[in-house]
Amino acid sequence: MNLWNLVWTEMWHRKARLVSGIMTITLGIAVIVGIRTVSSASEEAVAIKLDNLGANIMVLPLGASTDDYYAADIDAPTFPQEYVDRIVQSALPGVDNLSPKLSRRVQIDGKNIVLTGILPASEITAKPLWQASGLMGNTLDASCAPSNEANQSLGYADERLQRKVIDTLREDECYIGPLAAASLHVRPGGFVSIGDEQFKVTKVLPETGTVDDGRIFAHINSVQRISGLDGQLSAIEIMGCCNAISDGLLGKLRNILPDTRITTIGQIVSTQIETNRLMDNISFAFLIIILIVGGISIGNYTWANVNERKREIGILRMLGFSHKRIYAMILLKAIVFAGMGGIGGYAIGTAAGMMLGTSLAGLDISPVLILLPMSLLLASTISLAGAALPARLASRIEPYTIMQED
Amino acid sequence: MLFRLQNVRKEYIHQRGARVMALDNITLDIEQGEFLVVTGPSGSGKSTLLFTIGGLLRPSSGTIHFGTLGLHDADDARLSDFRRTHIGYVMQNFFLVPYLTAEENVMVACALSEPEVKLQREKSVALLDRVGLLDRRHHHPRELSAGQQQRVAIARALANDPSVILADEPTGNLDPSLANDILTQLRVLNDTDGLTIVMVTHSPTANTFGTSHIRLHDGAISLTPDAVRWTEDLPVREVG
Repeated sequence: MNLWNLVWTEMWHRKARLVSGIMTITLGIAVIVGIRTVSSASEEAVAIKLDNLGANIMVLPLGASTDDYYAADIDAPTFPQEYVDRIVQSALPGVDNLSPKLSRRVQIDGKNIVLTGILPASEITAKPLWQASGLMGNTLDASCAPSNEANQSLGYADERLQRKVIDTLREDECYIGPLAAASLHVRPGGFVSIGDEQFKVTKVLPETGTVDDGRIFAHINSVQRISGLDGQLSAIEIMGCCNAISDGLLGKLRNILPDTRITTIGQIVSTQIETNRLMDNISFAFLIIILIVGGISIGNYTWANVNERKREIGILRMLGFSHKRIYAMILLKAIVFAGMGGIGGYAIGTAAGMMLGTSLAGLDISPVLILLPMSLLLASTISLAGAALPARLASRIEPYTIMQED
Repeated sequence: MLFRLQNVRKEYIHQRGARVMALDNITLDIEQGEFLVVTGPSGSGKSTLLFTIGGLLRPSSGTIHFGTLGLHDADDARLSDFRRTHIGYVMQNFFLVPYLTAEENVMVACALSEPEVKLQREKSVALLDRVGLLDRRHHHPRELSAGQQQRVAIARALANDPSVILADEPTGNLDPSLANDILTQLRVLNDTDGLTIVMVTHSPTANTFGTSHIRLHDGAISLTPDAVRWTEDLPVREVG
């Protein structure tokens, strides 16, 4: 017979009260877990949608203008291509894709056209709108956004929100924006002369409504050669996970590339931050309510239990149980409650979140495992905070008072 | 000298401010191996004296020594340790833990000095065998008669090999034949095991089992063991 046996036997002796006590914690934890499970899925869904808007971070040389995010790379000074390697080698979390580019204005048939060199596999990934043109490519694994399969499972009917990349763009080929194609009167299969080189137009890109519609996209090696800027870039577009941006990705990039200018699309990031803040605030409000209500409920339960057990506690004190041992006995019971309530609350909250989130919000919800240790921690906090005072009062029970009552 | 009480007073202050002197200037020595019977009318301070000797209650003034240990000013840890190590209690209402079996009730007392559950169980079984309840060891208190419950309480009192048994009206809830059985067991513990026993009782027949006797009246000793070594044919004499 040890303290654990004693606690367990007593709990088992009062099964009905055991269930009601555990349910107090279980339901509180279930509410929090349910909300967090749904909100995590919701935050992820928002992140996916925002990420699918395309690249959202631009690395530019110092001195480049950022008045227009989408045209900031045009005529910008250059920096070494080696900067791409620095980012790749840093393995920063939240950097989904890199798209180095070199843009220069060129004269073609007397017309002023922006020629942009790209690395095709990555460039296309950063341009979801291009993907509607049926370009074939590979699935891109993103750190915070789901794969194509996951996108499809989320029900995105719009193919443009599915990520694909093309593998190859030969150095004598180019894509051309619709405005540039109209201006130069070229069609797919036609040729465009840029400098001393001829490029075959393999695709006229769909209209995006941005400055990209007036560009010609060629392999970056070709553009560097034509511009006489071997190994130089005018910009690196990064598709950054919005969560990571709000967690300080820009600062980390600035540490890696101190002599560059790094900017982002404020609206995208602020939307993500606002979404996360809203969810966090809701969860926090419930957390406070549950801490207070749960703590009081457990305190009330423990106090009632201690009153019910006064005689028995008096007996144990008579036998030689010290104040500390009685205190430990009551708190041990609170810990058992916390363990059962935490696990039960996690299970019920996760199940409820998955069922309700799927049926009411249309979200694809998975269990959030990190919530299990958090549930146990929260349940322990509620249970111990609620039981601390009654346990102290129980430990102060003097055996002679109980004996005299008898 | 096992216990030495000097000028012990215990005053209770009730909620309405009324003061009751439960023990009034008690000076008493209790020898090793003595079977002291404490009698007196209700409210005379018998149980208070027992609780004070047993380290359950601190006196308002005066000193109580168990050997060299001062019980009057010991902290909770030392008093708990004293109760666990030296004292076994046998009370009128048995004070068994209701949700534990007879065996477990004895094991709880063993647990404080013996962490090994197997050894606790062995000792519990041996003690229940000694009080004739081996076949009832898996029974809960509600499944036992009053006499059987008191025998479990005696087994529990012996769990930590105490040197002193404090018994508060141990036969108060028993019919005469069962009472005699319990008193005989206490007498055997005193005679053969050499345990010191202090027993509070109302029962005239219970007096006959002691080796000495004091009588309390209004918290004060009216008949001391030094004045009268109790024998069966010596009538109790009121003094003072």
